Amino acid sequence: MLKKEFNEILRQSFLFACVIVGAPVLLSLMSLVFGWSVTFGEFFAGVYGVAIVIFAMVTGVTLFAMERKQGGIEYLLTLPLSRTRLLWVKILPRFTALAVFSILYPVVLYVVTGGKGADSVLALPPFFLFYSVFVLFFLSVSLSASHENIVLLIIGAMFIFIVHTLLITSVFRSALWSWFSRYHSLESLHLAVLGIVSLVLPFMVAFVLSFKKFDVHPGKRFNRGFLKVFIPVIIAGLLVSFIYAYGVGETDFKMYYLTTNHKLIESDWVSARVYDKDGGETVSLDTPFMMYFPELIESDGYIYTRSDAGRNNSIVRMNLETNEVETVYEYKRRFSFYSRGYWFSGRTLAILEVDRYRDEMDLALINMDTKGVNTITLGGKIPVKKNRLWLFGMDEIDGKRFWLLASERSRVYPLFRVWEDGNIEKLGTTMKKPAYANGMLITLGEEGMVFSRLTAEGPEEIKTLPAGKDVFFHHHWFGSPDLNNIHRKELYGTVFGKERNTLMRVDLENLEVTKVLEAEGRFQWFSPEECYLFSGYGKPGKFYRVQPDGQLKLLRDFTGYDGMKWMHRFSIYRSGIIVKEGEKLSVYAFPELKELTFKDLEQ
Amino acid sequence: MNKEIIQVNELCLDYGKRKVLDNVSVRFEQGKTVLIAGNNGGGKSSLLKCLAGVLFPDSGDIRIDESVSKEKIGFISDRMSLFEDFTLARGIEFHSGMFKVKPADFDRSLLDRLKLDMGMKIRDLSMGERAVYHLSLLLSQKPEILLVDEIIHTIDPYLRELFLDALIGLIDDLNTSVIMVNHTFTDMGRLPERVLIMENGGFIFDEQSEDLTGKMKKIVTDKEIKGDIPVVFKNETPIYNEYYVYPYTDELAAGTGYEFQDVDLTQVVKSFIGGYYAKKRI
Repeated sequence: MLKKEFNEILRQSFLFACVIVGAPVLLSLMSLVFGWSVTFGEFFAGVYGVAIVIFAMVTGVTLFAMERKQGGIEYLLTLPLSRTRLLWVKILPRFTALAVFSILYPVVLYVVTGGKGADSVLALPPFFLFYSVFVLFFLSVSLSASHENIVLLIIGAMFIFIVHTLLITSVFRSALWSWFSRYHSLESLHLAVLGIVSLVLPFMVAFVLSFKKFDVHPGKRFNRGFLKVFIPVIIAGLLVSFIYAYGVGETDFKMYYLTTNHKLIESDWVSARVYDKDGGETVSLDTPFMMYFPELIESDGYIYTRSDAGRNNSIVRMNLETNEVETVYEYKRRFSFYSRGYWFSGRTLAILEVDRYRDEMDLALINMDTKGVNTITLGGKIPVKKNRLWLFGMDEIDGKRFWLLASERSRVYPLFRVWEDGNIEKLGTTMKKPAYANGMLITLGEEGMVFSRLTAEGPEEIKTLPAGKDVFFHHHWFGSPDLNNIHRKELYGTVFGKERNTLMRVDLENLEVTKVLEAEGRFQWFSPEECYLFSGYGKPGKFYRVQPDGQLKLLRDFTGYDGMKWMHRFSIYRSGIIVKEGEKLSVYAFPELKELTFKDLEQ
Repeated sequence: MNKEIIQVNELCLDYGKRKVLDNVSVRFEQGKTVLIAGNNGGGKSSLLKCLAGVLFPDSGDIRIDESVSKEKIGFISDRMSLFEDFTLARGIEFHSGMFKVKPADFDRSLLDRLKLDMGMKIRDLSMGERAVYHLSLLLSQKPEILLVDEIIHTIDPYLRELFLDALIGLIDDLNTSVIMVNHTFTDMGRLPERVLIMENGGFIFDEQSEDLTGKMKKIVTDKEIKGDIPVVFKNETPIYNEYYVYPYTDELAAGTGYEFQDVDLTQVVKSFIGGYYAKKRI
């Protein structure tokens, strides 16, 4: 029987192999015709990922389809196998095939994408892929006896999976990103545990128990037995999930930000609190704040951030002295996919309101004195659909202001300049995130790093540094309100390595890139005098200042802190650092890293 | 009395609102051939499927003698369910493997008589060929219990004889208990030792074949019969009426004065099924 099932799954696997090879070949041929800039390897990565998810569902729901199709279901049930054994004989070959294809995925991905692996454009995040494949497989297996219509079962399995994923990621929202992270983290592992406990186990337990009475009756009858077991088990599964989530502190998720006047802002998904240092009064706010860069900036005694309270998505600002909150801008669309970067130019705050699915985009210029909004419609003029757009600079030439936009798509990022009068210019492309400072546009081309002076007519290339200077300009700088308002001699960026990262200095006067320091850990740069390194990921935590001469000065020892642990976060702000170790929260203020205490805050 | 090999206790089964088996209790003995008959929807096939383990009852239980392993139970469903994409050779190999039959022990004599190509697919067999092929598979198991569901009437007289001869051989050689469900009894009169008739999910008749002629009689007359006679079915023709009487006792003959004639198996079953439809009409 096992041999028969292995033969059956081999036949299905052959079809699967034909699809994952044939479809990318076809797509590659089409890309030759249509001039798409996607390689065979990238197509292969995308098709493999999608096909294996479909394969998991099809193999799951067709557990008994072949016997039904051949009229052999009665014969199958008279074979000298217990129901439990029959089930395992059916599941084992399918599970084995999926395990093989899933394990092969990152390997094949690495080979066909020329070493890019999960970073390839169309690749699915491996961890999320593994999770989806096995959850959908067991879900499909559990539904396989409930109905004979395979298409209906696949739609059902997919529907349950999506609803469940939305449910757990809405309850445990902090971990949402980890689903789509290229690499797994402890958070994604916790999410997987929650998914298994609250979805896979209830379905499989109900299926295995009700399968003991699996017979030739119609599915409706089987479903009654299934539901009798499923309802109490899913309730138990959800309860265990909540207890588990509570145990790891996830249901108590909070975001923090330390202001320059050393107030601690704490926000969850419905409200925020402002703690004043040294026993000052705590203020509660009905407005939740998005506390992550680049969606939060501090300027002129205010913090500006996004607030998603109920249905009203808006940009708000809070006065750091009075704690008063006011709405600066309300999104016009319910599901606006706000893209990165606020940009201040004097008293004008620029934001992008992007709806990638409706191909709509506006650049909203908000006068902070009059609160008037000048909206420049960009949809239809700049490709929005399937692009990730962000503001990365602004400037003024001959009294005329403009803003710079980058659009991330595939391997090249088209760059645009939007003038205040609505004119739009294309500024070429870059292969990495661009930077703009002192009227200098820094991009990456095939030859290397390109420095161009941006004039009213467009970019004038001044110098190209050889390839290899693949410097990542950290997005914190995009949101920096003063980047374009002061003259800079230099910019800093990181070249990421597998184990060690390198801090690079980009000299804006001599147009040279030099290595400052190579070290394990994460660099955080605000200015030449405010540059830090934290190494505490899988090794004892140490927090350093990077001196302008490239030497490290140890500021504080955080031995005992492990950034790889669940709910451990080490956040560096211009005003200080916040260290979260599970429930424990420690706040230290620059320059001496004095530990701050706050009334009403559990520390 | 032979050893009881199957005990069925208070079996109930519903298909939605329809009661298919209604508190059925019955015993089957080792080495006996039992025929279950009845109207369509009476519960015969459902009972057989419960015995074969392809249907689970809602309540009640079936106890099969501990000495009988699952490998020793054979079942031919009314659909003659097999893996149709298999070739005959692959089907034999698969079945032998599942039921622990050594390939050398597989008796191909029945199949040889049909001169079948072992490379052909099961789905390409005729109904009769398929029945004989299926029986060959089951015979290789040397079954102690054989369950045969409504297939005999679907096969031609030559194959039917082949099939029945094989069954008789099985009973003689292995003392197998055979439980068959069927409507027609051409060529089968010699086979069943016990006849059960089902109606509305329960048994209304359970007699040994040898007692049949004594327990059921018919009266043929052109007049309406009088008196307290247990008639299960009245068959009206333009010339005469047949009154099927069950249970018949010698006292009835003496007290009523009618002439009671013997009936055969086909007439017994027909009278009960006819009686069922007559009751429905009323």
